[in-house]
Amino acid sequence: MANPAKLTVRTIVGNNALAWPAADTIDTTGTVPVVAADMGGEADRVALLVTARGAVSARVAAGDLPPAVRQPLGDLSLPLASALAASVLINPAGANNDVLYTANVAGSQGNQLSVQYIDPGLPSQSLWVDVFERHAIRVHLATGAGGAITSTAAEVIAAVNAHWFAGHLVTAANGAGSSGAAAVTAVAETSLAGGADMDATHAALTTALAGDNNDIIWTAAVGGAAGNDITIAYVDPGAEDEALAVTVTENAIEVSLETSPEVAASVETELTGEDNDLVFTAVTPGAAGNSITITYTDPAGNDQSLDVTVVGTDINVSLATGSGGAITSTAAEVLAAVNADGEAKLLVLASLPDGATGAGVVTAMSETALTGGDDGGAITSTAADIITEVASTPAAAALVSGANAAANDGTGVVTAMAATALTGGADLMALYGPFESARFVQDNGDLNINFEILNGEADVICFRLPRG
Amino acid sequence: MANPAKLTVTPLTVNGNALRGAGDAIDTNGTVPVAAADYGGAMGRLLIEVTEDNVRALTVTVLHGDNPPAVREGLGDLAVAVAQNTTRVIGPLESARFVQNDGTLQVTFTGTGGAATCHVRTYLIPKN
Repeated sequence: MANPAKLTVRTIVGNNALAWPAADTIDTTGTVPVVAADMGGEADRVALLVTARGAVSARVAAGDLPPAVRQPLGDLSLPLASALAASVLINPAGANNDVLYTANVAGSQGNQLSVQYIDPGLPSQSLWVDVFERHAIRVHLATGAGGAITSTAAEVIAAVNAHWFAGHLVTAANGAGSSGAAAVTAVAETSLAGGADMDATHAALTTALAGDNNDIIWTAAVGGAAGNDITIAYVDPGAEDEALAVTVTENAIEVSLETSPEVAASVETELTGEDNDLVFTAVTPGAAGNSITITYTDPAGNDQSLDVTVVGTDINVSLATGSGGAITSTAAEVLAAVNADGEAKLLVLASLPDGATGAGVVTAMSETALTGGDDGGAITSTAADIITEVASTPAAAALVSGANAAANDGTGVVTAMAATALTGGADLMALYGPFESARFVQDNGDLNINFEILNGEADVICFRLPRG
Repeated sequence: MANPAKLTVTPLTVNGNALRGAGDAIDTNGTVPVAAADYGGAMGRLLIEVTEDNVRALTVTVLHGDNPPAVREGLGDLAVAVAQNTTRVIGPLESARFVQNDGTLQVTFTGTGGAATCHVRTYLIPKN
């Protein structure tokens, strides 16, 4: 889309009723005039009804002199209570020298401000600040005897905030994670941005899942009633070892949750003696492996041979003995026997622990169950995981942003959640004007409206009011 | 619920702005005044915006005034049909026809086949 060439003027007539007119939609930053012929050359009878479906500004441009004798008063910016403050992060090379500048007055007016760091190019200069043409903050940096810049970010912050006019325009502060201790460098003039006179009410959703520390506040990225059409669902994929994934279909965000993988049951023996332990791992992963048991039996006889028998899921290893009846089977021999047994090898795989050789003689061991087998599929995504994944999915990030709900730290595992709509989003409507001809009329008689669309769009109805 | 005792007037100012709020809720057939003090007696600067709440059509009738002071009250009421789910802007209005002898403006809301259900925003435009 594009902005209209001009705003359509709707004339209100006395003792009459005007059907609610269609609005002009403004979706692009730029100037749209109210044409002189349409308003009868009477800017002071023009009022604008602006409906914000996002963060927008409608600034009335100063006129031409002549005829606008009060033109030096400048543009008219009318921020509402929901106005957003412009800001810019000046981020020179290096660490601990970032400075965030935020306009002290919220609204689009702040977008006119700029910040510049100037290297004086001379040795032994002092740090000082000036404001050029009421909007350009210029920081003249200090230098050492050799001409190198010595001003730290902290010194720049102090100088700007203390300056009688710069400190009136902006507040300077350390950037996130910056201590301000490092020296800055020269930075070209950089404008503040993100100021808007109107920001429609953002739809939001605070989840209320079972469990702790897993609730999130989802907020529509763009304000307005349209945000109420956004839905979020957390879906249990119903399978093991699934990755966290976010998909977006129009306004529907679906978060497919991460699930745990299936795990094979296992056990490592803990026999008396050295180098005689083995690890038994279920061949088939899953919880069923937890029913497998291993027993080492001392046959209590002389010259017995090593033997493996299986009953159900119980594996019994009858150990070899010598002529005196002492056990002679080593761990390596047990390993070989189990892995060679036709039934046992269908249940478990025997292996040596890391660094073991299996040369040690084993001992008898009572029935020992494998443990830790898990079918997988349990949800493992935490609230923090989901916030990050949504933020890194452009289509989802264009719709919502997430933050930990109050008293939540994001470490809790979430649960599945049916598609749930954000609520509370509302368009913001305001009447602007009428406007003073002596300040705003152009030399062609037009009234120029400078629209700034930070996000979303605006509907504008231009009324020509009756004479008061 | 019931209708408000009077309509709330939002003054517009030159080079100013005003939020277009929810407005006064009308849910009952009846007459609601605009108080003289609220519009400064300047009926010629009063605009009444009526938004039907998508329930049923209604008729908004601005009642003729008393003579005196409304010397043209004989022209009668001004009736405006507001279709379901639409908005109309009424006014400004002629004092000589509509002002009551207590200075008020009287506005009657009548639903078609039921209670009037609408929201009303009333503005006082500045002198120009």
